Amino acid sequence: MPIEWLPVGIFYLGALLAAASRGARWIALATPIVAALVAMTLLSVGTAADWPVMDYTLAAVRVDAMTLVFVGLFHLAALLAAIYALEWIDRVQASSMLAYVGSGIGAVLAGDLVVLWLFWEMLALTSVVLIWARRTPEATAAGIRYLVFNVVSGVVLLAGIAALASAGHDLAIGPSAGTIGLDSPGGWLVLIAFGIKAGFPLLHNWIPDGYANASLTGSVILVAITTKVGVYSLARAFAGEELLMVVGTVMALWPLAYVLVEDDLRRVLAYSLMVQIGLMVVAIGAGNAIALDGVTLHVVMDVLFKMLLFMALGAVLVQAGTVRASELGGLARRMPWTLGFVLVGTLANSALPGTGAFVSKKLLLGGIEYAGIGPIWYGALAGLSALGMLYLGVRIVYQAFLRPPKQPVTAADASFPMRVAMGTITLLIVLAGLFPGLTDALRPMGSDYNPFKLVKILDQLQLLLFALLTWMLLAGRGFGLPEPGRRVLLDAEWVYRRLLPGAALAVAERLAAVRDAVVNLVRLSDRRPGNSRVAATLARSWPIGSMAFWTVVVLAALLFAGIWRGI
Amino acid sequence: MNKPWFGLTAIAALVLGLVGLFVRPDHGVDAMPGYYPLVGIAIVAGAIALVRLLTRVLQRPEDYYDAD
Repeated sequence: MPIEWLPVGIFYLGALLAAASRGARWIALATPIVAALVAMTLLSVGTAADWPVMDYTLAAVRVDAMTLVFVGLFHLAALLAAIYALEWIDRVQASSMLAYVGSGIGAVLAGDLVVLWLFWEMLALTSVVLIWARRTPEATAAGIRYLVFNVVSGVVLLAGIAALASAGHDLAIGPSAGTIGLDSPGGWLVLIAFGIKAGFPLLHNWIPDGYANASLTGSVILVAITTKVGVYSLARAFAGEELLMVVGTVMALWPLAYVLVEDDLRRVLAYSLMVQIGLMVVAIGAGNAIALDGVTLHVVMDVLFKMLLFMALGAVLVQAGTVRASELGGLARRMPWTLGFVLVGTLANSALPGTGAFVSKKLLLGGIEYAGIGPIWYGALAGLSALGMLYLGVRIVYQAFLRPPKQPVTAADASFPMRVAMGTITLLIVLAGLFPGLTDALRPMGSDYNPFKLVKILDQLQLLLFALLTWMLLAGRGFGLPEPGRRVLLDAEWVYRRLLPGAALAVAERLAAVRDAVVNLVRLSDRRPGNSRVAATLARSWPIGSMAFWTVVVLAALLFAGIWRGI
Repeated sequence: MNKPWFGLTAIAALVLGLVGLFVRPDHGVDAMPGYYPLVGIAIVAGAIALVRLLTRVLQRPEDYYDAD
């Protein structure tokens, strides 16, 4: 195996050690640091390594500037998650987290689709453990559904690879490889596989389902890797594919109802993740250098502020015992640090000037605008920042922290390691916002678009202020958001949780009715005089061995008949 | 609604809106005066109206999926 896989190997080794050792939390902390040092030594722009397997040579590692951003981001996410969970992380979570991050790094390093597929499957298998680690019946069921989606994604990817290979298509992906395109069935299969991972509409329900039910550590790290590998793969293989602009727009607007109404605030965040990824998918469809720089930078910012918000909600869950908006309130006095972090995360989600997300989102939207979309389409995408302020500001900041509590609040603030992790992320977001030059290294395409201009800042402030004013006016006249409450909102999961099982049940009932009709027919024939011998034969219970014997006889007869005809 | 906050937000929005009428880029979507205030108003009003409608259509009891 190539030495360039050593950072991945260190994560896998760390996972094994964490599973076998009592100091799992320290191993979870040390592994990303050691792996990052090794990665900095081994990987640079232009690094390439092959892996000869039997008669094939797999492109194990291909590195360019975009790859390095993702590799660095995954290391940072692992370290921050390990700090956050330092007090309670157990062997299972530590080992699965490390293996999961290692798989993510392996996937973005991959230079061909076969290597990507190997890590793709590893991602699914290792991440589901982080959902099951919550050890609740809901988490178990959600984990199974998560696994089904992700394994199906792997199977579809494999089918796509086979179709592309049989058509003589190049299987390279990553730096110096061209886009795959949609001119063959294999290309469509690969797009669907990537789409499942990125959370395309109708294929997305594993995101809110899995992330809201995962363990605390799980939800924090899951938000950083799986969907981002999907985005990376799409950017590599389908940049400039105009269909993605439509898909991404639907994806960004789809969760609108859910982010504004869902009671479980971790589900709100998971749906909000979909909004951001939708924007990235639109930019990938735009495909120009500004847009791809925007995608890369926004992935970094999105990981940071989503991790921050999931961490803060994890602290709320630990302290208050729930993250349901309908049951929360009055946490501001008891959890001032956490409130501060939530505010920064919310403002970053709204792309407020002064946060790194302002720079990344303006870059992203600049690339989309450059692709020549109309003002209404552009407005719908740009306006999502205002909705971000609405759904996180009202749903989390107000409903969980500021409004009067419904019952006495006894919660304490987040623990010291949790605050260190959240404080580090806050610092990074603010630094990136105040000194956008620091993020220049995170623009792999090297575009010179400058989003940090007075007019851009003014535009964004106008958007947010007028949106806030509109909400205040509407809410003051009783036309605000629906009150949170314990309920289920139908989503695409209805198809596989109600429609398909219901249809299968209906088919099974019809088949049972047919079977009963046949059995009744046989019983009727049994009553006719003179048929007693036939009826007795049909009614008799047959041993399994006998049935197997006759099956073999029939198959052998068919085989001989086939051979005879062949002769 | 807290009146002082509403007043402050209204004044800030008005001032920025007025400034925005004069500080405009030469080309692109942003060049249209009043574009961003309009987007802010339209998207929030539209989203709230849509969500209130959709909630009525889409909401089910909490044990909806457990009932089977």
